[in-house]
Amino acid sequence: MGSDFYTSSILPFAAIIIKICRAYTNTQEDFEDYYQEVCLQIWRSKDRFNQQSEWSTWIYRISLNVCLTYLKKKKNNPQELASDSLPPQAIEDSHCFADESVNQLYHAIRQLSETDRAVILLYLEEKSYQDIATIIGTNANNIGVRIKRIKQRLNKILNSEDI
Amino acid sequence: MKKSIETIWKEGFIEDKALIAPKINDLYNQKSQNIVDKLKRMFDLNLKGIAIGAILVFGVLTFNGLPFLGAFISAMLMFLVVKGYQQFKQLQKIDNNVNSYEYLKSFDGWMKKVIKEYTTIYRFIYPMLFVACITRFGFSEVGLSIIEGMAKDFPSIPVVMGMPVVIPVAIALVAFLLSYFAGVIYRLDMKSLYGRQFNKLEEIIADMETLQTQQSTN
Repeated sequence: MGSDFYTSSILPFAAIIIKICRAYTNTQEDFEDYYQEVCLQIWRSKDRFNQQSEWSTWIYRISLNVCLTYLKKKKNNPQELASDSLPPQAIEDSHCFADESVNQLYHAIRQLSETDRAVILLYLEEKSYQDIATIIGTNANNIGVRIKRIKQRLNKILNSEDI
Repeated sequence: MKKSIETIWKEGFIEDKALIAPKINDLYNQKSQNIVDKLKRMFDLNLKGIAIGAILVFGVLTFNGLPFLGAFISAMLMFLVVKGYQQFKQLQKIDNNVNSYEYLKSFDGWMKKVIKEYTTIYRFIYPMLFVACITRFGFSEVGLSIIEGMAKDFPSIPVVMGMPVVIPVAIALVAFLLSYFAGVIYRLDMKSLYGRQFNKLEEIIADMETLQTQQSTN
């Protein structure tokens, strides 16, 4: 990957990639693997970006696709799942963010289904229902209901763990 | 009052160092090593699988009263295993001290050479396996009754070595076709086993070449 492309087109959006990758990984090692793979896929797919949407939306889409694909791969290959199966106390980066509320929120988000994680991340990043639907490949009509349901689930998890 | 999840998200990341991008270290070196290691593991596993298969085939066929056929098929499979490990030895000769791109190119070259050599071997193995199996079938009760039935039903067909000439001709034709299409069959076999890894390897080499081009034009 060209360092120019990385500096100009990926680095300014690194926060997006980090936020998404963190939601799909439990350890620093996995996180770095996912982050690198996302960057690589963004670089590889840059020629397919048709400028009909924003570059950031494209980055969200690639990031989620890579994370979901990686997760699926790991599920199919239990050997690679080793780091994901660590007991909660052994998880290295459960306190990776400075704000403890964010760490707790991530802990709750990681308990959602893979697609629900994508929906709530996009919602929290203030993407429109239409954008969310386009990125995850579903109908925009039920996104609102789905978000409401996911938020209820998150609040339930957060409250049950006395957070 | 507790913060809403929206507020946690909005306020939680302000000046957070965790949002600073991690360094991308040695991405292609890692990827190159991973893909080569994976392919090596797969080759090794495949060869071990063939060796186990050879022993099983011999056992099962011997148990069913076909020791010669079992020994023949087993010997051919073992030949493939020995050949495979010989190829593996050549792989160790690839210089590890070159850069990732050169190493991958060497590995890719080695793999193409192996595939070419195996294609030649399979040009003989596929028809030999077929002829061995069909010959053994010809000596079975069912086979003999089919041959006799044909000889009776079509008395006008010339007979060679006690069987209507169409049978050896058909066997020779199928054996020839198997030999002719050995490359295609073998490539399909390889694709089903290693297709994804081969594609990845090509993808990584292509990426590296693109990068080299970009770097030389900058």
